[in-house]
Amino acid sequence: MGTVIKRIALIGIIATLAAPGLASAEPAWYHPGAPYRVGPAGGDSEATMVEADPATGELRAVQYQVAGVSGSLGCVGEGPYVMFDVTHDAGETAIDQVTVTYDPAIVSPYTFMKLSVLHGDTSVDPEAPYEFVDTIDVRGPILGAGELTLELPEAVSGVLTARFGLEVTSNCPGLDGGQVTFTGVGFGS
Amino acid sequence: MIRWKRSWPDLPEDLPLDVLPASNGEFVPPAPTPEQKAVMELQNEGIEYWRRKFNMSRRDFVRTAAAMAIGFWALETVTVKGARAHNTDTTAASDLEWDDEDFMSDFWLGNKPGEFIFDVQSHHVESDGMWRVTNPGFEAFFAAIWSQAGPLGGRPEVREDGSIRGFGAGEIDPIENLSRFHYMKELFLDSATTMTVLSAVPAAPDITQPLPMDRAVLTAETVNNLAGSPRTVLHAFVMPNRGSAGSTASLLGQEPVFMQREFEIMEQRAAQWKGLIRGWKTYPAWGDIPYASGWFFDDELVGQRFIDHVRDVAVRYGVPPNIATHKGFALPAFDQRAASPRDIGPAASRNPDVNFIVYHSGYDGGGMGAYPGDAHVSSADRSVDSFVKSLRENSWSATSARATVEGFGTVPGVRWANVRNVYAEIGSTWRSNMSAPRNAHLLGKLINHVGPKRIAWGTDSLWFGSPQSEIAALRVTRHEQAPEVWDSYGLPHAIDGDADNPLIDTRDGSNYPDGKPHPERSIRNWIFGRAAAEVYRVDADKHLYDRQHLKTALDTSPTAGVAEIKPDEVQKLRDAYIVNQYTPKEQVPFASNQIIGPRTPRELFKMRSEGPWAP
Repeated sequence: MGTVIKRIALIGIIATLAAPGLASAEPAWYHPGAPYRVGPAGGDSEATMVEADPATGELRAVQYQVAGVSGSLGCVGEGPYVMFDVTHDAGETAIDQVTVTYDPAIVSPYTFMKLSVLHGDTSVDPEAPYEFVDTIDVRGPILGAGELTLELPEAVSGVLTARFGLEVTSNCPGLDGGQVTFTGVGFGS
Repeated sequence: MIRWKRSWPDLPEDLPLDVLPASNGEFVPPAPTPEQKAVMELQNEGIEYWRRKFNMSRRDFVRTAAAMAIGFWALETVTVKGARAHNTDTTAASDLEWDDEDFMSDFWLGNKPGEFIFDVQSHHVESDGMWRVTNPGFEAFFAAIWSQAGPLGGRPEVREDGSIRGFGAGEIDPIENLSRFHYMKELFLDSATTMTVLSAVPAAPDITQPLPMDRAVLTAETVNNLAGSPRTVLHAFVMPNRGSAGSTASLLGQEPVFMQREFEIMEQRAAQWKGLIRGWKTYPAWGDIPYASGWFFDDELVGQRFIDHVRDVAVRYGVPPNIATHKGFALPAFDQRAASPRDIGPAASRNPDVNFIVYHSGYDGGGMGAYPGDAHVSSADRSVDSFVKSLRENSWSATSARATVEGFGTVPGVRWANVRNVYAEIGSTWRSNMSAPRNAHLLGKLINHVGPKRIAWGTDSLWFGSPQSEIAALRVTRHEQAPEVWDSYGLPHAIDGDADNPLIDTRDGSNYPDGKPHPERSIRNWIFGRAAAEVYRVDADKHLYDRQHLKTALDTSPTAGVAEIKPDEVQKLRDAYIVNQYTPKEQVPFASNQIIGPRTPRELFKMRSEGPWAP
């Protein structure tokens, strides 16, 4: 076998071995800007505040109910929450984990940093049909930089949406919340 | 037959169905709405009309099945604009038809065909227990919160004739209104309840517990010995966060001081009362430090270790791996954040071999409408929608194949599946939402997202007295009350649908190979008891006391099997106690017929100002 043929064969073998591995090993990363959309957000109209800026990846959710007694005597009913949505078309590639990175985060003990993966596309219609694949949340306190990874119960392909942000438990009296800059989201295996 | 005697305390003449606002002490009662006033007015007119026709005193008549029927007729006439209980041509009270057995059976105490009522959330206290010394705050709490034990029903007095009248339901010591005696009367005599789980309230160690474990056992054994069959089983309270320095302490790796001790107590109790204990009751929002000591099931240090221990005790002692947990109503001093059902989805999905019975289904008062969509709900709040969201986002709802048991709906997106290990208990939640269309929204969303075989009947009795009006409300719930709403949930027969396929009407015998109706298969009867029977390891069919079942069994097999369904002593007591059984005049002679809680803001604040109030 000639040298050229050997080289071609070697390259072919390497390509064959490496191609699937590369496809599954290299996560597709998205960063603040166009891929980020403001997802679900809400909370009581009084005593809560939510903001989200897709251009910077920064969001905050704060509850500042200082009056009232637990139960119904003036207590806040709905805690604030705010999320980013990022959609990724994985095609035939099997995705079995999704990661979000943040830097920085300041999250109080009764606030949850949450990451859900939806099987479906919410980029055009936020209410479009989808299935939740799974969710992970981490309770505060969270300070500084880090990442949150959701390992999916089974690998999925097709169009996926990562939904991530903050959710604050409703409480009174209470001052809870957080501010996070989500620097990226990666879909991979 | 028991007759009221002049020397006995006066019985109130209140209407049997009271829809006016009443507070349990935790919120300011709103002003009554014009609709509520109309229901009461119409009910009163109907009762006055018919008591004269029946030639009965008002005191006697308001305790009859006919009076209860008039109450629900009035409610439907006002709220649904299409009341039953009359012929099809008119809607007047004077047209009520008392000879319709099918209609009247909704209001009798006798069980309907296939009906096994298993109340998995019932309570009482040990009225002379040590807790009244060691935990005085709880006594004040009960007096303030629960209408049965509150002072608003009238202060004790010595009447002119020398007779004495006590608080609330009539006892001189108000706490006695929440005692074992009243528990047995209100649950087993004044209602159609067949079986109960006697549950616990949050207090540990046991010396501070309003119902210490051995006293709960005494109640269960009293009922069961009397009945000759297991009519009452128990929860044991567990407080894995006992000795916690606060909720955030566990995040720093600090184990609650008495957590291991609590686990040891679980084992002792499991060994001692294996047959009686069928689950572990937890209040994750309750802790040693008010407002700050809550815990979550998905917390590795406390929650997951507790779940692991439940599993371990199940294997070693045979206690069912059932976790009954309070989620929703944020009582005073609760760390209300941990009353959120947020952690049910993650914990249940990670522990599919352990059952989670979610008390109150996450409800904390307020409205009841359709599930507004995932984007509009936070699972970290306290509501039925938050409970649903927690299941959905963790791919553990009735529409997720990963979560569901075999049968309908094992394919994602197909309805009528049942979540493998999560049950929605509706104590107090049902009471707040039992008129149309709220009842349709509550049950519709739970059937869709948790499953038609995953709703557990609970009433929070004895706190609110007899649960009979709640039982009647589920019996009369049907598609015609709110057809658009039921249809929106894909339930054309409402809860008369078959629990395995709600598109089939269990009332229509042509749907079944034997050509007979199958009420025992209805979603209603699964809610009433069959769902909980599975998880609490009870054979519902061996506890049937309905007349039809008895008749059928006797007809087909005069001897065999009769012993299993023969009315036991508790049933005999009830039958002897009820007057004019199975007639429109069927009367529960000592029904209290009263909601004694504050009805106006003024009453609420008066109540609060007259005594200490602390949990």
